[in-house]
Amino acid sequence: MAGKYILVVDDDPDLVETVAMMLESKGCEVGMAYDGVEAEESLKTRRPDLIILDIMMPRKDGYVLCAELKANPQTREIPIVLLTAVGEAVPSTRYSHADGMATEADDYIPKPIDTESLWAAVTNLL
Amino acid sequence: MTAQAALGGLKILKNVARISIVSEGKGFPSDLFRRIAEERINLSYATLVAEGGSWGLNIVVEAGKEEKICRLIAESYGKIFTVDSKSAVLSIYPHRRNPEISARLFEAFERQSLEPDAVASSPSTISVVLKQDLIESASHALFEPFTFNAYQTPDDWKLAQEGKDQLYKEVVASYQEKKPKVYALEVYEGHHLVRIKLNRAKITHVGASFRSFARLSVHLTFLSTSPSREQGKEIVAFSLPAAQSETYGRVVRRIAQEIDFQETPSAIVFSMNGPHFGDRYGIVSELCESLESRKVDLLALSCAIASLTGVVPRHQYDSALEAIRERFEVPSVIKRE
Repeated sequence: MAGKYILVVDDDPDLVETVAMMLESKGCEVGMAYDGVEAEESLKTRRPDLIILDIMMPRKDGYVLCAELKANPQTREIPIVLLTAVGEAVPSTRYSHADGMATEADDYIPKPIDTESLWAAVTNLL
Repeated sequence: MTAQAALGGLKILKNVARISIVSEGKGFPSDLFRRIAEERINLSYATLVAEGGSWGLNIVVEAGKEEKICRLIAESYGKIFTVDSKSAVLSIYPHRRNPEISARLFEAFERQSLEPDAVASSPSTISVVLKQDLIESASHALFEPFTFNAYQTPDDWKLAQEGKDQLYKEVVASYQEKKPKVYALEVYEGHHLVRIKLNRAKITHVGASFRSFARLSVHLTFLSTSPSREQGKEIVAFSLPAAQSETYGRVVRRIAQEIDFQETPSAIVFSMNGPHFGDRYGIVSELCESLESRKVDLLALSCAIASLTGVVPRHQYDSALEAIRERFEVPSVIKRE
């Protein structure tokens, strides 16, 4: 897994830090972005081998970004793991689980993240 | 002026109130936090540093809630406290435990004569409480020592903030877990906790020491400030890895000669980050009550953004871990150096 570049996108900087440290300890390179727009900017400079993407973020949320990336021939092959904190527990139609299933993400990890499950999802996709 | 340091971003939480308290007695913070939780008042930010037998606390709540808390304190404790009803919390990230980030922040504030009312670290952020009318100049000041990935200028950053409040209002505090979840419990073993006491107006002077630590490549894992029981003084608490003590010893000894100083040589720093730590009440209360139930001495605490970071004596680590696991759903414990 050494040398694989993973982009972590979440508006919770502490969670980004936790995930980044876990991935770096496994030999991965990690890029960090704190909302969907920042992630897009990051994608222009370096193509990641995988994206770990939160759902509820300011400016552009994870559902929208995931759908856009999967609709774009240049980015659709990048594996995406969605972090689904709100899927079932929050009665908001904007962040329903059904919306998540429609985004064509490659895997879903519920929050709170179990780092072993996240790593298993990452290794499975790379 | 050295080159700018690249950061990921900054956040500002406006329209909050800061309450600063100094108390005698070890049971006080736990009891106070429980009462605040019973009133369903969310703590957006909290710092705590133990000073002998007393505690210094800074807590930040939504503006308008401070009167209720002040009544609670006055009725139950009769303690002296200060209240600032127009405060804001400014956070920069990620600091990646590099003390140069804190140094640059303090130096930037010092140049602009900006006095932070409280400082706290989380695993990724350095968060300061300021009077709200200073936020404009503070955010501008940060664009001198730092660059931010997504924002070239303070105006870019301002534009990006539009609509954020509404987004969070849609979902925050939508549910309360019976047992709060955390993503992971991170534990840093083998640390020194350093506490220095200095005049309130001179908090930013610690920037020079932090810059020295940065030159020595020493990691800064914890940072928190609190009011001291000594009038007009503030305590700055921070942790450094014991394994590097020979490297930074000279800097610490210099601090000790110049400023009132205390060191706990064997401590554990732990951080917890949860999906609703930043937007629900009762989290700090759960932590303090759990530690108190196991008679663990909480030496210092910082609660910022969506994290709690605490410092306990090394010999109480096992008890602390058991206490936390009893009250929180902890999927994994990540040990760090």
